[in-house]
Amino acid sequence: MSQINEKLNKQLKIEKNAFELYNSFIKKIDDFKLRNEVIKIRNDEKEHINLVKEMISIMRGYKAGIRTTKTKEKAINLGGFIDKFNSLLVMTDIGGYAHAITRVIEELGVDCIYLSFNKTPRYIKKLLAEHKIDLRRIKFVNCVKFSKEGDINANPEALTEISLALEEMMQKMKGKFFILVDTISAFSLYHSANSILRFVGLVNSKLEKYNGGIIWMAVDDENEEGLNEKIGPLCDKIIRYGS
Amino acid sequence: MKNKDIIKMLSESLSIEEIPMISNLEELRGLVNNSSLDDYAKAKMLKHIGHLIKDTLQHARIITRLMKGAVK
Repeated sequence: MSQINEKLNKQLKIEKNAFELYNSFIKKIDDFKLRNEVIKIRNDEKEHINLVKEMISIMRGYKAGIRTTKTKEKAINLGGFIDKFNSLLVMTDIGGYAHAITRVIEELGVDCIYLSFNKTPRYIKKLLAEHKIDLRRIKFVNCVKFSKEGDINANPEALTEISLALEEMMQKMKGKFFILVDTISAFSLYHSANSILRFVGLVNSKLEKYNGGIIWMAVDDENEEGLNEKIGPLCDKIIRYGS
Repeated sequence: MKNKDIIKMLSESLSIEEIPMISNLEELRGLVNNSSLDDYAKAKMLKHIGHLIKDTLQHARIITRLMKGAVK
């Protein structure tokens, strides 16, 4: 594995050098056509840097003992969740994420605090009802910027407010429960990666006081992977669902 | 920018693109193929490496073409 890391670091250095080199060329080229060709190559190099960084993150995950599990079947293995471990990052593509949510809630069958960050949970409620899931066992925290009757409302820009609302609800839960965050990826609309990571760490640590667990749903696409790779090590387990 | 400067610039990028990148990527592909990474991680790494190799070869072809154009 160390040889792979060595090669990846070398590759990252080469890609960064190439990016800088093309950037410096672009400033000197007068010919429009030639300039455009070099700009395209420079942009590819930028993408290459991200790809290499992603591979480095995969290798770091291995070093830290994190294993990614791809779940092609429509089941999600949640064995030990809440009892043996408390925090779980579920990465899914945008097409499969609603199904992943219903699957998780169905399989756990315990009380749930559902934090809907960037949309009203109307669609999910309908979907859960179609799956004959008892909505009375789910408390919805709605972070869209208008009040929704029956749900608890929180300001998406105020992470402290959300964290306090969650803790207040955790205190009221009786027996096993879990929090489902839909989705941590959407937090980046309002917050920096560092603020999000601090929030994830804080909420994860609070759960240890209560008999609960937390599932951070994340959209697994190229734009989000930088954030997902950083959240991964803060969670006890990572599951990839779907693609 | 004069033609000789363009050729110098392009040959510099070719030496960065073609030789170190391709050889490093091919070695990396061999290491990943023979590693004990799980199937998912291995497939993802190989997909990325394949993408990088394809793009790098394409860059080398474009640069060679541009160099030929600058020589004429």
